Amino acid sequence: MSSVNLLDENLLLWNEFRNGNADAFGQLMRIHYQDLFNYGTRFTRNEAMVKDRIQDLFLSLWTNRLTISETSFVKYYLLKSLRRNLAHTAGRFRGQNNWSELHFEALFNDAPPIDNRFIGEGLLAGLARKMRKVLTGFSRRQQEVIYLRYYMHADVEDIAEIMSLNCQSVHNLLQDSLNRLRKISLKKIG
Amino acid sequence: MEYNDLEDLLFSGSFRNWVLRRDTPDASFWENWQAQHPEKADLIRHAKAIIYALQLHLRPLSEEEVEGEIKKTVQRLRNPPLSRPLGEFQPDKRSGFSRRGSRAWALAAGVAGLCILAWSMYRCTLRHPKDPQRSFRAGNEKPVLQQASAGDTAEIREKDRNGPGR
Repeated sequence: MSSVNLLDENLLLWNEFRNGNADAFGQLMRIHYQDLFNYGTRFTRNEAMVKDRIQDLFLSLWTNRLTISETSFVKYYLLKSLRRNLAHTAGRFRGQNNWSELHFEALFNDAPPIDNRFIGEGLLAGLARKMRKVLTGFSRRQQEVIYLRYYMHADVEDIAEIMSLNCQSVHNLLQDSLNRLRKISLKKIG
Repeated sequence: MEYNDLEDLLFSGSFRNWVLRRDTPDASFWENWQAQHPEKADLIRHAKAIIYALQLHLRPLSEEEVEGEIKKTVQRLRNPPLSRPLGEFQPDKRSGFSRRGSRAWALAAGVAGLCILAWSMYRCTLRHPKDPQRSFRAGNEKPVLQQASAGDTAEIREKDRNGPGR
């Protein structure tokens, strides 16, 4: 299915859901649950808590469905709302109400090792390991931007919206990351 | 779609699938593309290395697990728990603050109540000393204790103790 059709289908579902269709509600959950779970568990290892927040998020959506505006970017709307809910919970645990305190877990702490057998090329495996080391040193914010861009397929504007940053900051974080990775490539290959 | 720079390849789902799982339906497209563009060999290698480096352990949820969560949510939608009505699930930034705020007010009221109680008891003690054989003189001078015979209370002022004319 092309991305345009997928967008249309999402929008159709969203509008059905807003009209009070419980099946559309279930289908929306089904489509986005894995992404929301993966993103949520980048902030905490407490899976049960993430599931509770996702449930709260969908219940809140249902309750407020008549006042929610039409959006073609359902996924990013949900990611942003989940992030806010998690921050709210984290703030309550820490006795604060400041959701900039939400910490994105380091991406590569439990990442699978880069395996020569899988990659099959010695030079490429060495390069990938070196890149992994550099990625590990990126700031949490930079890692979150990369995660959203790479794993959630969000563009700069979506990421800015999700993380409550301005587009220029997101653009700079992304470009800085890619330039640093490019430099390693050029040193090693070029 | 043109694939001219690193980002074009890196953020293409089709390219990524081909790199990570060679047996995708797009495999023949990428093999042909690679053969037609030998000048892009380095670019492809850069993109592949980044894709390998970015691999994460993401826990895939089973279909049953997701369906279970949907079922639980729909059940809660139909039968919201009495202690937690649906309206409370609104992502309202202030709700946590107001809950904490009301707790703080209750605590402050309790402390104020205790202070008033302690002050009243202190005042009461001043007016009705527990030990009938003791009396205190208010002011800057030290209290003077005077032993008296049983049942009597005597209050001796400093100037009386020092004698007249001093």
